Amino acid sequence: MSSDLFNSDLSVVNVGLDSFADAIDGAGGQAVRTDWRPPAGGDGSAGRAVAALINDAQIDAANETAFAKYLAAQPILEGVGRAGDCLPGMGERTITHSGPPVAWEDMCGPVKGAIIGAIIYEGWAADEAVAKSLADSGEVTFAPCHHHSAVGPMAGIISPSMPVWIVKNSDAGNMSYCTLNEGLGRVLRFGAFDAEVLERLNWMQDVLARVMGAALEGLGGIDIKTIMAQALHMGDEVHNRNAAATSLLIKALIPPALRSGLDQAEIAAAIEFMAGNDHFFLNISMGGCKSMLDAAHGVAGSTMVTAMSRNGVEFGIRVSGAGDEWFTAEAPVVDGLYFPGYSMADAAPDLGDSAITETAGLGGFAMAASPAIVQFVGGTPADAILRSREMQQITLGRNAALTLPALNFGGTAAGIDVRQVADQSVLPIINTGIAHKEAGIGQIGAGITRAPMECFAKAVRWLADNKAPG
Amino acid sequence: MSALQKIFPNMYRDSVALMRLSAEASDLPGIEAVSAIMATEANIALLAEAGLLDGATDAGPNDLLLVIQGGDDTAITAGAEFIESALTETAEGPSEGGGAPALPHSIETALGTHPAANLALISCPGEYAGAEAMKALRLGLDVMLFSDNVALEDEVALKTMGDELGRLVMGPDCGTAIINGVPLGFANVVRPGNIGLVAASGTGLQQVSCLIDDLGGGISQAIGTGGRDLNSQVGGRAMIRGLEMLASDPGTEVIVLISKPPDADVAKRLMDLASACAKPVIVNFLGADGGAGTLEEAAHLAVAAGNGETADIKNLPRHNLDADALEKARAALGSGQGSIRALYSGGTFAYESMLILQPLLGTIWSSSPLNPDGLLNDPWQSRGHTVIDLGDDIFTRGRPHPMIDHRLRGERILQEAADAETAVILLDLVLGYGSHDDPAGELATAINQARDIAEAAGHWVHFVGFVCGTDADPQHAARQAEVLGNAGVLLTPSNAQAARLAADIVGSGS
Amino acid sequence: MLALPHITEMQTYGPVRWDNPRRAGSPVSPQPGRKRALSVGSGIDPLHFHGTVHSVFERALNIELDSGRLAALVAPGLPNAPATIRADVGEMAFMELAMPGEIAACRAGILRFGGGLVIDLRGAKSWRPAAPVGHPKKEAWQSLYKLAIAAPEYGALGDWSGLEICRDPHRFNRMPADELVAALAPLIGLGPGLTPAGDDFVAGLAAALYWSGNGSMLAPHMLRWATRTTLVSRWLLLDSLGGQINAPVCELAQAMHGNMAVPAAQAVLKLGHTSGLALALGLLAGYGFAWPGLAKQTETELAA
Repeated sequence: MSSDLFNSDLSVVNVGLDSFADAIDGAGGQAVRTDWRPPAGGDGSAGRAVAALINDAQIDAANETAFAKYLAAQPILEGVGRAGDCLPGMGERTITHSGPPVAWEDMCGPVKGAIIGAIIYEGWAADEAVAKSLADSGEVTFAPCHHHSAVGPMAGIISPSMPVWIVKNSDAGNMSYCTLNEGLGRVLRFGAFDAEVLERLNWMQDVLARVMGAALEGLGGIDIKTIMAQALHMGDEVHNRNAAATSLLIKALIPPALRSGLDQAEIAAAIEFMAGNDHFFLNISMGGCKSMLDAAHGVAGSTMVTAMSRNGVEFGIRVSGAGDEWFTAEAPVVDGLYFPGYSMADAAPDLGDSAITETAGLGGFAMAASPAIVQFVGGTPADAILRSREMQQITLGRNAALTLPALNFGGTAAGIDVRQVADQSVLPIINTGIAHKEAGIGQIGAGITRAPMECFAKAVRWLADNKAPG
Repeated sequence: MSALQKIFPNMYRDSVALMRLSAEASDLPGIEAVSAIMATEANIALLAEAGLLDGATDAGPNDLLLVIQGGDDTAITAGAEFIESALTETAEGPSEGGGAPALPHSIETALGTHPAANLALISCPGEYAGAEAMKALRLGLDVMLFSDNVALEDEVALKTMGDELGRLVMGPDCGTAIINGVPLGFANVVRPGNIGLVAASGTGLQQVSCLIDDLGGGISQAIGTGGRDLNSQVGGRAMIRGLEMLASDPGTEVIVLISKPPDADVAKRLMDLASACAKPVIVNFLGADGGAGTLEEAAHLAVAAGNGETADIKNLPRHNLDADALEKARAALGSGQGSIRALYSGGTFAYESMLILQPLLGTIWSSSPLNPDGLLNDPWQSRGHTVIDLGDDIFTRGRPHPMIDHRLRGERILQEAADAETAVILLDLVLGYGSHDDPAGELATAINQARDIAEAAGHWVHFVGFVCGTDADPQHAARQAEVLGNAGVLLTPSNAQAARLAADIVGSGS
Repeated sequence: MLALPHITEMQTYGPVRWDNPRRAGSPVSPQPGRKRALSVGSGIDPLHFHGTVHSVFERALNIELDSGRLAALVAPGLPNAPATIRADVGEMAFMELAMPGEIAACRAGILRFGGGLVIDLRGAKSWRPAAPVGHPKKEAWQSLYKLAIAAPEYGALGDWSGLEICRDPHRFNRMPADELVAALAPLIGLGPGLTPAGDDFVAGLAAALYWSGNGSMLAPHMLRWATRTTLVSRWLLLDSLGGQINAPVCELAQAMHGNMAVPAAQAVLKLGHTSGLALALGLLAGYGFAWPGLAKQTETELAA
């Protein structure tokens, strides 16, 4: 079978010297110009890996399957439970953290601080010094939250006694968990562990968990996607902006809380606690996103990203068809807007599991819903729309359940395809908060960052090496 | 003197665009040296060699690095601004909202906006080009791979896959093609007709197509195979496929195969296929026995066959200077002036020239000689009869190809003119898309300067050359020929004739 | 004569091609919204072709390929045919998915339209028309005939001047070959339907002739006839010469060699408006031409 090139109008895709396209146009042919850049930021081996994976029927079919599972997911916030009882494989001396695996000695300041706080909170040690030596000793097992069906913002520390949101994907049945948000200021997730922090944690374990659990039981659960969808129409992108979603949540929980028969003072305290924290919904958003993406994980041959996550040292991604592999790179320090008195020199490298929201098509991907965010990089509202559009170039599809008014109510782009990231050198965009590099100081800024290319280069190489033959 | 270094992170521009920009900036007042490059290891080494960069830089291979040296800070700031605005104005990024849609970043996304695309023309750096070509094949496109420095294994893999999928792979290192009347790469505008070409040499394809046009014939299709296609490992796959496609193309009635002599097994296979073909196939393996020995002969045979006739290639003109004029030309030379210095921009012309000159004149020195004993110690210094391909890697490191940038050849012309041995300087002038806007003008300037140098030294130097182009080319061959004629260049219709004329001028009689 | 509504070809927009009439803005990733093809007729190269959208309907569209022939993209409910791709495009009508004049090009098994519709042909089943060569059972022929004349549109065929002969397959028994050609020629382009009923009849007849081993008989004439009718019909006629015809007709021919011809017959009869009936009558006429004995019993009854 021979090429039918001579029997057709010539339409030339030009990759490289632009002058060739000029010549073709000038001679009456059709030149399709491209804005080509070297694949994977200049990585020849990644380029070859992409070439082996592109336009492959099996991979495309696997991606369709994975994406369909993600679309079909219906995360329901069912209740609150004890981490040690809920998280699968969580031993009674396990503490989970955000991001890919990292050894205790390598962990960054905020994460170490948060772990020390958790050890004291659990009662395994009485003070910082003892807690440190316990951590040094190896008697405590550290593992990524992701390995235990969970996610956590910033340091993301979960210890057995902590209360966690229980999320169930009513479509496929998989379970996900996330801590409850402590609020702003001096909190464990930024590495603080003084008496105020511990007291709050104890109150959350006791009162907050009780009120939330009762309210959810009374409601029979909350459909997370519904709140997200509404919040996207109200100026939230449910990663860095959660005010509307939090308000919707409070609205839903107040009546069943009041009817729960619990002590009025406790109910009031719980409601005040939520009302005072515009980011309260973030952890539920994260749990919901994890639920949707876990459903998509584990489809052999799929190149869809199912997690993006950082531990303050490394940035890691997971891919549906790559099983338990983490593809990691150095976590970048974010160049964003800093609160007065702080600068990039004070910042911890990118930290937290909250990039799970971008992985699910929210956060930075839904920036068009929340134009104020682009002020972090000195952009205009039009830029917010362009960023959301840009992400359409690297995703498998759009989620029609989560629509963006500024894009004519089109679904948000979701399902990052590592092949497209590497081939086009377009990186996923993430809206993120920035932590101080020292434990306990807290958030010092926020900004827009990109996932590092190296993760995607590693991923395509692994996928090409492990591609099923035929 | 002041210097400035600026990094543009994650900004990619192709090498030719950058060189052109640097060249323009270097003309600004107060600028002594400027270079904008992608900060790959190799390019950084080049800058260091050139004295433009001392020590390490933070720039990585995906960043654009600009270095400027100038008289004072004002000048170099102005230079930097000039370059920066040129770079950002050509950027098709999503930063200034609305307006024109962004360009696709990959072949696959390009297919999304242009579903009927059927050929990928790839000229990105060699380390990425093989993978891009593979993507194009898997996406169902035919490929023209202009880039060189693509590994041999990659070429074999691409052409094997092409055969499996029924797709055409032209290249790597394929500089020229004409498909469905559209010029691709460095190609001339030639009359459409019934002659199809398959060539492993870009300039060989250009010369044959222009000569065919000159003789009243026309081209149906001109397929490039890349310079390495006819080695044993690649096995001539692209030339074989090209031959097959032309054999079944209703618009083609005559086929010409053009190359330097292939590896023996490949040559045999092609000769067998050629004889088995229902259409006449003219085989032009330069210097091989049988078939057409020169590009000129191939063109004559092809045009004749296209008209259903035969051509008498034994009786083609030797050249276009009559006996009297030849005598006068010889007489104009002083004693001691006996050498030909051939300075070519096309490698195949250099090769053909050596094939013709060697039997007539003995040893021909070159940086890529016919025999190892003709290897020049220093390619930058001629001796005796010297034939140079200025498109060779030695000369093109860090600068554009001589068909685009004539400065290097200009300098070499002056050097040869100053040499008392030089009798004839032999030149090609290649027109068409991709070449310089006015190569004859550039060349004439150098030639006139060279004459002054020769005159001051008390001797006369002959310039012999030919124009490879047509009147339909952007540069207009006839006008270019006129410019050269006015500069006193003895012009012949073809390279073969030019070489023979040069030999006759320095020879002691026919 | 009753003036039946004459359905003309859908308006085309000439040779103008455009890419992306509906897509403005940045390119998007390759995969979103890709539909899957269920089956591809063997007359189409499932990897590589290109053309322009010729006409668009509710559940189907035609692509005029650069090679000259038509290919059809249809909803899953429509039957397989030699140059037909069946694909599930969801709830939307085809008219909302593509427009006449748009580019439609298949590269490496992915069919992309200028307006953004993308159909993945990889993995689709290949469908090939086939029917047994040889003569069908007499009972089957009789049974099909009875069903045909009982069809609701049978009367309407008679209202169209020139089509009367189509209603009477017996006329073709023992007809000499040159008379056959003369009888068929005036039917081309005649009658109601996007593929005129006369063409459907001739196609059914030609297919039957092919399956009876007489495939070369109409070939020289068909090439002339095919230029006198609509583009869609042209290919119906040319394809039928080689037994390349839609699935229901193939299955009917198949079923006529066995016992259970009735459901297959009904499947053909309900095709289109008069298309199916005309095809069936043509099939009967063709088989009857090849083997007059098939129709003999009814003939005798008529004579009685």
